[in-house]
Amino acid sequence: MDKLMEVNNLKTIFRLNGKVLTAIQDINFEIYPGEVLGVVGESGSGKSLTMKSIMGILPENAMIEKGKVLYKGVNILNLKEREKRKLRGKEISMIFQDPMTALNPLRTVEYHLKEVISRHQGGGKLYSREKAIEMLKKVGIRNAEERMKQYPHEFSGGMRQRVLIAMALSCEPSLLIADEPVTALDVTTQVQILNLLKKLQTEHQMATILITHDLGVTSDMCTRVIIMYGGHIMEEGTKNQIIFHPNHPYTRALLRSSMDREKGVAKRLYTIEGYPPSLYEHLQGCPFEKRCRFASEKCRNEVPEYQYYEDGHRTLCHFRGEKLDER
Amino acid sequence: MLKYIIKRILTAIPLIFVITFICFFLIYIAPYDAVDAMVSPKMTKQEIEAKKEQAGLNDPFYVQYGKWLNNLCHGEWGYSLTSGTNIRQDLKTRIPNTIKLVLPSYFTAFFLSIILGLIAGSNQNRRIDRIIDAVSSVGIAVPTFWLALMTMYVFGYRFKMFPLMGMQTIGKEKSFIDFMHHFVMPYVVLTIGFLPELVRYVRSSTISEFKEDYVLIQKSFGSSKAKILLNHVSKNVMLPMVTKLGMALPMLVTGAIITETIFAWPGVGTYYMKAIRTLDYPIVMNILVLSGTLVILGNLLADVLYCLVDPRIRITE
Repeated sequence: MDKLMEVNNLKTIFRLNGKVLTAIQDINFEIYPGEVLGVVGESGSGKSLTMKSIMGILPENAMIEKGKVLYKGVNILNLKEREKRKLRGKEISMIFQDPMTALNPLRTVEYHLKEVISRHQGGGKLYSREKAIEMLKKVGIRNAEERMKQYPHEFSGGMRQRVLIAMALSCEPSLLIADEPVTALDVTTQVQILNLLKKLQTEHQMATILITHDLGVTSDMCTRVIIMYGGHIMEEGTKNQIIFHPNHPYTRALLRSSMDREKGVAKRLYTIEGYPPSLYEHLQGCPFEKRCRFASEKCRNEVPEYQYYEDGHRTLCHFRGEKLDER
Repeated sequence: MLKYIIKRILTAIPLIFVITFICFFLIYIAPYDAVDAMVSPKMTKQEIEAKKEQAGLNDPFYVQYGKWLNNLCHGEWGYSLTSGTNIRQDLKTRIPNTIKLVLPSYFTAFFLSIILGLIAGSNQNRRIDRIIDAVSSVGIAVPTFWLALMTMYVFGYRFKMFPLMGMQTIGKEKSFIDFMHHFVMPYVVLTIGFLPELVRYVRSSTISEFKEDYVLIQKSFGSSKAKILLNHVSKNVMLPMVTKLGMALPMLVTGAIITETIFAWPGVGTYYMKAIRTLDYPIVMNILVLSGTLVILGNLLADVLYCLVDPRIRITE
């Protein structure tokens, strides 16, 4: 199958008070049409920044130092700003963590939707109005015609996220990036929004990158999973490989610290000791070394290389999974 | 909505009374005997005492205040001590003159500041922003009287481009061209006086607006910076400017005291300054009450305007 997008050696840095801080360390991954790729990691692991690098919406003090992002074979990092704009919201759409602040409070929902639709599809006022209504119905907003005349503050968080999903999907993108789309919502709404995303993803057959720090969500929705830590991809594999045969100490620790929903037994949650590395630390070895229970002298001094297993499963570790099993 | 407006008006009324009270009280305790203005050195003690009694100056404070307030409400604003003219009549001719000067200046400054502020704020830390920001900082620091005198010296005295004083040449009261001729210098000085603070206000709200989340989201949907500025940011920045407009209401009376005085513009400012210099306390009191009332009305107007334009307040009342 042809790759939809391929990220090669992407390295993103921050410039802060004259210092150069590397936030994304040379990462590689790809995404195929129609699949759901989960990106999991703690806050600050570089998930969102990777996506913002791809979208070209980095904050002003951040920049891509090197790397390629091939979308349908074209390196979109080299495109002119005007051409990038044509991709955003049309070919690649993104939805964000906090729907409460994502819409302009002084513009109606209708205005938001029509603006995106007419920008990327043209087609006059009548068309964009009808398309807007259609999209709102699709994301489960009742009385779409009346509700779209309302302002964002008249919508609940879940409803606003639905509006944003409607905006994101209105131009039928081939790739949807969902950056922790339910983190800011309450639990019952979370399920509804995730189900909606799943339904729309299957209907439209669009590739989706789902960023989350909830491994449970990953196992429900994703076909493949990337585990990120300290700006590195620590492990990549299919959902089953990651959930049932994790080969990286970090992934194993993450799985141990997630709730066992099925059993519903109240037990003390396992936590990983320590904190993720700060960008200011200069690390010689593996970023997870300090918190890893398998860490050795080698881990402190040498950056690990990838270990490969069957079906593209890989880990960034000095040790192979089998070795870790023995210890 | 109507309920809200009525509520606001009802709370404004007691405030206005408080203002009249403060104005009266301040003048009452001032180290100055009001009777001095009515007597001549030749009068005897008894005569002075009689005058005082006749004018009600021996009444207790609350009686005097009550009488004064009653007169004020009936449009009896008293007479100037120095010239004996009716204050109400004086203000009737002078307020329009001040409005003629302040209104165009404020509107010019208002619209210029929106344009300059949006340009500066959306280009934060670029050259154009630095220039606009630096010039407005200097503008805030420069006192109006100095600017007025310099303008007068350079364009009025040196180059003789404009007349130095007044609003009209005697004998040409009906001539619009003559008026414009007199108008240019104070207008420019006043506009420059209003401008810097407004520019900085617009600039800083533009900058903070660009930091809002929705701007990034708009960008991720393929919107260009110009479009974001035009379709979203400018509207959100201009909204709070409406309150500035309401708050500027008292300026229509006391907005140009210094500029008017320097250019001898026959408005409220010159009148007020002269009254202060000659201890003409009825005039001072009237203008204090008037401008205080306008501050309250201006705030009221700002609140009501804001309710009308901001959908979040409009509906969640």
